[in-house]
Amino acid sequence: MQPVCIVMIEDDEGHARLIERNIRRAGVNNEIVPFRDGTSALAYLLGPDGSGEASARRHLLILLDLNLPDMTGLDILEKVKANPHTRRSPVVVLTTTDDSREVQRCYDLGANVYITKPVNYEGFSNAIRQLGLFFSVMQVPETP
Amino acid sequence: MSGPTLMHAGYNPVLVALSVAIAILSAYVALDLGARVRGAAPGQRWAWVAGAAGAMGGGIWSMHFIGMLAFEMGMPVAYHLGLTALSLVIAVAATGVAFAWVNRAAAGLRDVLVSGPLMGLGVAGMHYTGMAAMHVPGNLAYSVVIVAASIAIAVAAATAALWLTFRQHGVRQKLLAAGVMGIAVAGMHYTGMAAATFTVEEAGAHAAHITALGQDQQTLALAVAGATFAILFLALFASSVDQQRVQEEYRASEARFRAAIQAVRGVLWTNDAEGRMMGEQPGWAALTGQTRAEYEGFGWASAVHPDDAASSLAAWAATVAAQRDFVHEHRVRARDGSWRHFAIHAVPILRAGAIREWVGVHTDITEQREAEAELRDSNEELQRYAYIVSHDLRAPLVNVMGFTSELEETRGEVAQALRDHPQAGRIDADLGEALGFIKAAVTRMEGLIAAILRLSREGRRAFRVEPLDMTTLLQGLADAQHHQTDAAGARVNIAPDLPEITADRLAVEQVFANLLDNAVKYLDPQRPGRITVTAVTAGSNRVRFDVADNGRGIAARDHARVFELFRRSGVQDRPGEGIGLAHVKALVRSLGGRIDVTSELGQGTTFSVTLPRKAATGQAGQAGPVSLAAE
Repeated sequence: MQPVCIVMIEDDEGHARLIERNIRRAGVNNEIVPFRDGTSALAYLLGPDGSGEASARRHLLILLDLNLPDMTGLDILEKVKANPHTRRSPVVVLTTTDDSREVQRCYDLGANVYITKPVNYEGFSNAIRQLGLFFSVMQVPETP
Repeated sequence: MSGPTLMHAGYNPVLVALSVAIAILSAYVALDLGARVRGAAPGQRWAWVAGAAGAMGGGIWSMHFIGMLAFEMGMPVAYHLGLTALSLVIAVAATGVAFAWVNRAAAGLRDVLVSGPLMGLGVAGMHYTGMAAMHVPGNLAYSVVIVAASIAIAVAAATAALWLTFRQHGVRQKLLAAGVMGIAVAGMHYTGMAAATFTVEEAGAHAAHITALGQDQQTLALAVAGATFAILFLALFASSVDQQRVQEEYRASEARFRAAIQAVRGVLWTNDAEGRMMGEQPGWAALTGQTRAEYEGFGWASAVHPDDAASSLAAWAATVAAQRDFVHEHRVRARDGSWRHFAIHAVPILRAGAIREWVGVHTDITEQREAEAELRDSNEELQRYAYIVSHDLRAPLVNVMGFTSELEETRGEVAQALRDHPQAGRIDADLGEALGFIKAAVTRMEGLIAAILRLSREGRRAFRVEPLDMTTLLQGLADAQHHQTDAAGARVNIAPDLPEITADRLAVEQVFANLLDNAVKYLDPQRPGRITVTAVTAGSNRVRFDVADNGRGIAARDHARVFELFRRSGVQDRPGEGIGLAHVKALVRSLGGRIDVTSELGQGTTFSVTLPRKAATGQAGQAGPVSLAAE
């Protein structure tokens, strides 16, 4: 079985580093591919042609921040969940807001998990660690 | 020749014509004066009634008298002065009462049936009194049938004439009414004369005398007629002067009315009974630049904004069908091509129970609408701003807190590495102290940001209004806080008769929970705490709830400040972020109410929340969703 690749789309370098550290601390050693903006992340996920063929044989898990400089994470979520090659990849939304309407919107668009980045660091690292446990037991399906 | 001789009498045609002319003219004058009564000032009404009665009664009498003089019966005739005068009085009195009756303010068409016969009988009474005043050397006999016919003519004619008076508008109808009345009066007179049979015994003896008398009679008739005409013309002149005054008043009133409409930036228009715009509409034409051909019928709708036109036409049709007042709003293309926002109010003008026409006013409320939209925009912007700021402030905090925790992890490793270092304990303590301050500051900062976020969300929440029993609601809040209240040794009294209001339950609960919480929090330990909630009616549709305590009070200089975000007053010995009252104020405003504070340091504080009995749905709900561009 091909190992799962974690795609992390997060524009805040500090957040990205904290997330990575916590994932590693949770004992997850999968490859992490970081992106700082939506455009390059989409180019990677859907390929330069935007068809999604590029992800056809990948096992991906997407960590998605909603607040990106060039687009909102919701745009990416929508495209990923609409593409037949990527729609089965789990998407974990990580953001600063706990606005109920936004949470609802993410789930409506097909997000698998929604995690609020708490300032309370204990809660945050716990969540990430649990996510790490989640990764370790999870079978990410190979995208067709 | 022996025995009674039947007199063959004739009429002087000139005098007959004169008598009929007088009858018609006097009727016309009477109608003209009578028409003044309704428009006259209360004090002048009876003067016009008296004038009309004088003209009519005098005219009838004059006609009758000339008619008598026109009667050439070939024998000397003398008139009894007293009875002749009485006949004049009867004519004027009967006519006066009849006119007065139909001109009462409350008079209806039915009253003509009272006044008509009264006047008819008066005319007949006058006629036969006048006949009785006539002294002839022969005998006078009446045919009962023809007398009855003459009275019937008098009654019918008077009724018809009064009825015409009632519905006459223009000069032509007035002339028609006067003609009918005049001819009827003359007809009654000559019918009455036909009822009389004169017999004389010594006709021949007086033949020469008659000729001379005939001359006198003509002179008398002309004198009476001349005097009557003079009086009638004077009356007409008075009437026309009054008419001019009335028209002047009417013109002034209309000018005043138009100026008033313009002063409130209104455009006046009229529609016919079926709701079609007809005729000259100077206001509408000036506003839209439409020509008469363009706006007539329902053409006006083409000057209404395309989005509003169909709904406006439908609403107007429904209003016309239901015959009720029309209240509407739509946009109209002004002459310069700009769209203006108008509030429309139209009312049907009734006449005798049916709609005669519609009168409406378009009032320009463009500025008002623009100001409202601007206010809404800036409100939304403010909320969006608070939302964005709080989120963007939170992102760096995640880093500060995150890496502080990373440092804490590292602190353990540093302590391990410095295990044998003489300063190890101090270094670790320094690190711990620094990290502790950073974490406390971040926690506090996060609390403040969360509060701003909550405030901005509160502004966006759509209110759901429902009837609230305020006594139950407040008692529930007080019960929920009873631990704190008991701990403070305080008592909360909720008035048992608080009125019911219609509002959003959650918002109202938050307002009063905050106020009660504050009241308990800031009691004066020197005395047992007493907190009361009472209500008084404020204005027609508002209730003022007073939450009063005998706590430490708020200094006068802080009364406004306590409602500001993050501001607190007095000794800072209680936990809190300085959010509560700012939140309360925002909520109360969204509920369409206001909050005030009266307080004296060391005595106590009363927060007064004035809320509408029937709440609007709240601006919060109308603002619509705010875009989440920040995310």
